Amino acid sequence: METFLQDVRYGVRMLRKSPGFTAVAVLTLALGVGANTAIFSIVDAVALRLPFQNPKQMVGIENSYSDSGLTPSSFADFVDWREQNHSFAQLVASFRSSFNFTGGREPERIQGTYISQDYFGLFGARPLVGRAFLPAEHKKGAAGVCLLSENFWRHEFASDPGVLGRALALDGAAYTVVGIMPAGTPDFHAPPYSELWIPLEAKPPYDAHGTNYLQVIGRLKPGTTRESALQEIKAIQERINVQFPPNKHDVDIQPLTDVLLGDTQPVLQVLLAAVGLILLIACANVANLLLARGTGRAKEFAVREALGAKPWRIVQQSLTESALLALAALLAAVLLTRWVTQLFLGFWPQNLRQPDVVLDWRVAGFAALVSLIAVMLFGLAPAVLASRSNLNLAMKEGSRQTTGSTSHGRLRAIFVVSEMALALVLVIASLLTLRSFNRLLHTDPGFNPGRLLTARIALPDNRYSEAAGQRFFQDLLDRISILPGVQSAAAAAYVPLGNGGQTGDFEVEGRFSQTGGGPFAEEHFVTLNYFQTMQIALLRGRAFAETDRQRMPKVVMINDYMARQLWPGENPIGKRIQVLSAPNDWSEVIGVVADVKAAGLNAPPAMQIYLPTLQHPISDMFVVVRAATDPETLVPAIKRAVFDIDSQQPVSNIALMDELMVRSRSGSRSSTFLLAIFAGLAMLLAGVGIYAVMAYTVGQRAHEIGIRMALGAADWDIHKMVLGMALRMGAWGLGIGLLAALVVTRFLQTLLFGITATDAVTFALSAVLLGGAALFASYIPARRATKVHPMVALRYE
Amino acid sequence: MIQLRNIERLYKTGAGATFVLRRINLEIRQGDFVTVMGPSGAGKSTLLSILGMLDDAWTGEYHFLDHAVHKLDRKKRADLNRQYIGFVFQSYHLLDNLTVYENLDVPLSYRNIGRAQRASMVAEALDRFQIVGKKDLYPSQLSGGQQQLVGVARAVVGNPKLILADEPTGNLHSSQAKDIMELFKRLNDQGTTIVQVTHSEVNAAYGNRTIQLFDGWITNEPKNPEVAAGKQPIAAIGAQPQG
Ligand SMILES: Nc1ncnc2c1ncn2[C@@H]1O[C@H](COP(=O)(O)OP(=O)(O)OP(=O)(O)O)[C@@H](O)[C@H]1O
Ligand SMILES: [Mg+2]
Repeated sequence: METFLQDVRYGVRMLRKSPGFTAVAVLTLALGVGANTAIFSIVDAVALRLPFQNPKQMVGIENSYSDSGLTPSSFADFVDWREQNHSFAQLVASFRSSFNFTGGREPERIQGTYISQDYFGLFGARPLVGRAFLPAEHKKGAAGVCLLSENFWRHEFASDPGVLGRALALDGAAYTVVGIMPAGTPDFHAPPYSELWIPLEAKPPYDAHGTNYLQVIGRLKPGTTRESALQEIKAIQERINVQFPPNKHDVDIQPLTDVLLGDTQPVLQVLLAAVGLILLIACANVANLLLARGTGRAKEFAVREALGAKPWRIVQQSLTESALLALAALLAAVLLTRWVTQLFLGFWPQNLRQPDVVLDWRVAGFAALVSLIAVMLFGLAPAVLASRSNLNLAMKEGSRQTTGSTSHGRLRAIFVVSEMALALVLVIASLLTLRSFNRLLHTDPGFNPGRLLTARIALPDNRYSEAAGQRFFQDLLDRISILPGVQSAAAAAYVPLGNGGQTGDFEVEGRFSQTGGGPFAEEHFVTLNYFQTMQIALLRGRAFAETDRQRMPKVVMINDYMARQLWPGENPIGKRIQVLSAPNDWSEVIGVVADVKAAGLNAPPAMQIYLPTLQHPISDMFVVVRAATDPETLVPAIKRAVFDIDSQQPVSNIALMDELMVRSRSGSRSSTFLLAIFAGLAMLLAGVGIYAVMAYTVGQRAHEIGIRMALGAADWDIHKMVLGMALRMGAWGLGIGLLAALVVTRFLQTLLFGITATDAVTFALSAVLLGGAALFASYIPARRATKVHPMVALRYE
Repeated sequence: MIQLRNIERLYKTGAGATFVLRRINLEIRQGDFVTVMGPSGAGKSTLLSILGMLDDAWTGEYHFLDHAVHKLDRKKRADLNRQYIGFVFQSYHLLDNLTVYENLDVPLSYRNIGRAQRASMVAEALDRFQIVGKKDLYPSQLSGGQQQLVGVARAVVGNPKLILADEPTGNLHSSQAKDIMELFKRLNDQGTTIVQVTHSEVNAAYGNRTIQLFDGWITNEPKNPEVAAGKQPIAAIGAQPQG
């Protein structure tokens, strides 16, 4: 204990004696620890810190189809699973939707969630005021009841407890408020947050087999494994499949954390890997600094040994100093983490739930753990080498002014080489995502997003018949088209990039069809002016016309990709397909339009079918308005046009198409920018590493350089010598890094768009970039080397 | 070849400055073999490093061939050094991590000479100094005298016009010292100008002229170098080597 305290005292004195070294080492480590801690705090918030008991028992159940991956579940399937299983203590389902809320200041469309019985029970969430839903309220056809969010209660009802028992008008129907849910109630759907909840079973929005829309979550009974639960649900599903063969599918069970992370998971994994690399680089850097200093202190260690210190005492002393460094770095990192986390969240994708990051003892503990690992990584090698420095050698080296002992030199080179290799992997990863993002920026969405405004008008079924809805939109579009500043207006069931859409299977006339497994296509219901307003290019045939109405022959338009897929080398015009599962109701293909990136700018090409709303009336549509000027100025006039027709009808999801484009890219943007920051950091650290080693080497070899200059070496010769050393290390690092990147970047492929993970140009560019940085970093020591005066050669006499 | 006018060199020390060379006036002609003598600390090495363009911190005028060295910058001086001068350091200054062969090759590598020619020049020097057998050894594997031999070999390997040798035989056996002196004499006969520092009267006798340095002053050269030009060699005055 006493020797430990002595070591600490001595260590502190050593660190204070060389403040430059200490500052660089602490800052480097703090960056490594801080970046790791920041990413951990986000993973912690997203995946680990779940607001309920025993998250390990929680799983998500999803449908799995052979051709389209995982999907949500249907109400019918869910009910059967819930009734027949023995594996789950609770099995619940939810569906995020939105409702027209009238009776407030202005009709509004608000976020609401359908929840099955015991939904909040599963998460242990209780109402702040009032009560939860009663089992009877989950019975089919039960009277409408709802729970409100604390937030909605506050801003809509000024937190008036009197709202309990009052009936709210949602989509024109009455729902009695029975309770208020506190802020922070579990909400696993994409933002914005839910403002109210209503029982699912009382009036499910869809109840057919094959209409998959429910997020199903279950809590396993104690002692039940995920695997056995999966087998049971599979068995139940087998029985359902026999009864409803058209919707034949399998099921899959995943840990809830995986379900919640969804698309974020690969991003977080990549970021975790990136900060891991940063930490390794930082450790290599600090180890190098310690080694360089160790060489200078070889004599001190040798003297200590001569005075009787055992080798392990010297290791201990060395490690104590490393630990002190790590401790200082930890403190700096804690300060840094806050800032770095803020930076990360600034880049957080808009379409993902913003994690509620808490910096508490868990995060601090993680930082401490990382620091400890760092000490092991960077402290051990110099410590062991220090203990090995033998007295004789050190005395001799000290007296003869030679370069540091070769084992130290080699170790330093190894550290720099590995730093370069690690940094290159990061730079390549970052450059890949940057170039992929650049492709994304320049993807043609298939329509012109400029000065395009969209807004959703969801007519409630109970107030609007099909014909009335059709009249409403006809009337509305007529009014909007003549507004000053409007070029053209149309409507569609979903807008591209609007986070919604519908797909369905179809059959081609004259081709053998297989039940339930037919090809899928996006189904876009659009009004007459849609293609003209969106400026989607018509490639073949004609667009919809006034004459394509009900009781006339059914018509569809398809996209280019679908035409090529179904009728390669043939004219698709005049072919007939059967859509919307309507048997013997054939629609003729009358036109082919350009592909539109409807599901997201990075979505793979999809088959798209356009159906005219004149033949398939839709009561919940987005209007799209092409403005001649700033489209935002049109918003009040469009709202007024809606209210003039129906004062109870809200207008929601008002957005500029440009914004939707930005949002669609924002996921990629976050990962791209974060990786770029990390790669920049890695390059900086690798540069500092090379610089430190070269500067140290030049200092060590000043005498030799002086002799060489006295023997006639010109500046260029010295440059060549120093840069040559740096280049040799750099070349090794880059070579190893390239090989490592070939293996590693494969895990990046899911995040990439329009570029392969082994893109040769990117690899070459990264190597050049990092090589250049290394060269630049060693240029300064090289220049300093030429400033060595030949006189230093003579001074040692 | 060389004219020094009022060369002064001072070292700044903690308190003030101490003069190491004072008002040095000196003329060295092409083909001279000059010996610089004087007690330890007199400034001999300092004078040699100025002649060799290794030192820049002096004042006065220095004419080398038709170059006014005092007006040249570091780079130009280095060019002159590279082009004309071979330097034997008082403490050898071999490069530790290079072999004997590589040490001899270093000055040539800085002199725009083809690889093949360099190899033959190094081989010739190795042969001349009878160190062929040691060519693959590192300096640490040589005795002090052998190191000195390599140091001399390295200075002459490039056939410089001017050889500056700072105690080139300090560590050598007298027979080896004689060999070196004979070599210098031969080179001098072939036209190489040589300036050597030595404490040995025997070595000094190989030269045609001796300069005494004492406390930074030249004590035997007349104030006016033109006068001295005619009567060479000048006999040593008070030539009792010290230190
Ligand atoms: N870097 C320096 N800083 C201060 N004084 C110096 C420095 N180098 C040399 N001197 C001083 O300059 C004086 C002359 O040194 P110099 O090396 O020229 O002597 P020397 O005549 O070659 O002696 P020796 O015969 O011992 O080699 C000495 O008094 C020495 O102390
Ligand atoms: Mg000397």
